[in-house]
Amino acid sequence: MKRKRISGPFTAFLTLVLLSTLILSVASAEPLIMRLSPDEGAGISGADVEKDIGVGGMQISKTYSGILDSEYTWTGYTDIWKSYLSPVKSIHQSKSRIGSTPFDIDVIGVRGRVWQDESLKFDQPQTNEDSADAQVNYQSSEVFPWGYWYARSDHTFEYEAGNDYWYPMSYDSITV
Amino acid sequence: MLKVIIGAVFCILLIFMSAIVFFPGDNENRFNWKMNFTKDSNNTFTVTNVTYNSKTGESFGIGMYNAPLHNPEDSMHFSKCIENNEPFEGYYFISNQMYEQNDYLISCFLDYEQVPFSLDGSGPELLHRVYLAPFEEKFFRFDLGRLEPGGHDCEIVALLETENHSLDLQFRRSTDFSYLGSRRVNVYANSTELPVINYSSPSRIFAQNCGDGYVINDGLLLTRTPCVAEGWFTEDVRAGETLVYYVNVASDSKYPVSVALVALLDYTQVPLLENDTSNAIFLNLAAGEKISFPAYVQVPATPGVHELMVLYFPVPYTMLESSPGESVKIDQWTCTEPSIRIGLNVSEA
Repeated sequence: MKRKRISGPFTAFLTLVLLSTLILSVASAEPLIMRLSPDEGAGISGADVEKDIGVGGMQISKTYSGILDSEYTWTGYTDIWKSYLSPVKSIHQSKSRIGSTPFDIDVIGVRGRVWQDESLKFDQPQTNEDSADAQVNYQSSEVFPWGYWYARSDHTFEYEAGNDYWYPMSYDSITV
Repeated sequence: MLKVIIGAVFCILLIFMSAIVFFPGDNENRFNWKMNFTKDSNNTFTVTNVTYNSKTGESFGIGMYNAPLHNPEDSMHFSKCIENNEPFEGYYFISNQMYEQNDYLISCFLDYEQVPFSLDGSGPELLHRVYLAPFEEKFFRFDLGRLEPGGHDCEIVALLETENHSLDLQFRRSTDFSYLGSRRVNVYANSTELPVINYSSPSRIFAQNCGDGYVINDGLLLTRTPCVAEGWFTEDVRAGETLVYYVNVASDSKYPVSVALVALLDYTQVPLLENDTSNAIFLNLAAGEKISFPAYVQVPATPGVHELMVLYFPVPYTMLESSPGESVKIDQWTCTEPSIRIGLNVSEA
């Protein structure tokens, strides 16, 4: 049986190219993972505080600073991401804070939906009363989750005493 | 030996490279939007600063008031009592919290029937279009006239992007549960009771069970075949034909839901069921119950793109507050949600 020999210089060259590509890929990648801080996780009902959160996504916020009561900030957040060998994950979050302290409002909610191309993969609402947080998460079960992934969140913030109501949406996408 | 080592290294590198090439962590959209605002002693809302990298899809505030003043004392909250044959009137407040001017299509559903009403002095119409400048907030006076004695649900709906008739998948998918805001009040006209609902049974609407593993929770999805997760976005149809589609509606696995469903064609209410004159369907689903039923729409005679959608009104005829400003706790998603807007691309028969 004849075996094709790979020449030494060619092998070295190929190895060099592959190594360079690998180093470049790792160096250019942004930090992949952060975790919910205990402060953020503590007030979240139903959230898995151990779940990794990708960096990026869409974060929107609205801050009230007035003379009538304390300054508060409402934040809506959607992030969908995929670390190299892990499944696609998404986080859908609404939170209300005074500084870093949870600020309870009458109603806070989030509905998370995730689409893979034309197929709906996830749909989950959560509404909390007299709370500062609402959050739902998704994790794909596919081994090869190819395609265009679109995550979106409908956020609900209702604070009757402040006569303040906000219904924004946020979204994020990823192509795998 | 050296060749074996080089070969092994080569294989390992190849595996790593494959992982990077075929499992990219490419996160393409990183948007941020931040707004700061203040209120003065008159509760006047003033935006002081907005920073953003890209526009938000939608962001607005709405309310219903007895007077055109943005303060809690004048809010209708979630109920309104009417006595002595007074008309039902008030002010609909919209705050366009976006950097773009927007036009809103306003419609009113009284007892889940789209009704004509007056807005800002214009005569009674089913649909009113209003324009708001970037970050403009405005009160619009509405008048529904005199109501039949009894309890009513009245919900005024504001729709965005109603002049966009693109058949592009990206736009169609973005309409899912989007571009709609609403406010509902229980209206008591010489009454203290809300109507008792006559719920449709699954057999009456020819519903089939999708199983508790079906993807949606406390929501709806329109599809071309029952109980599937593949969305329906556009359809090429002939003028005048009857089109059959499926409304998949579900409770949550943890709690039951009560819901009213209404279909809109070009933002005007149409029946959901074949040979049925009732415009709304009321369903009461047990926890984990997920069903799919056939719905019918008569395709318009005019060629072009027409918009079909179904509205999901949660907790119909439910007391929303025990006294003014004291909300009642409701254990399901309480925001009215629209389905995907299906672009019906109508050609001549």
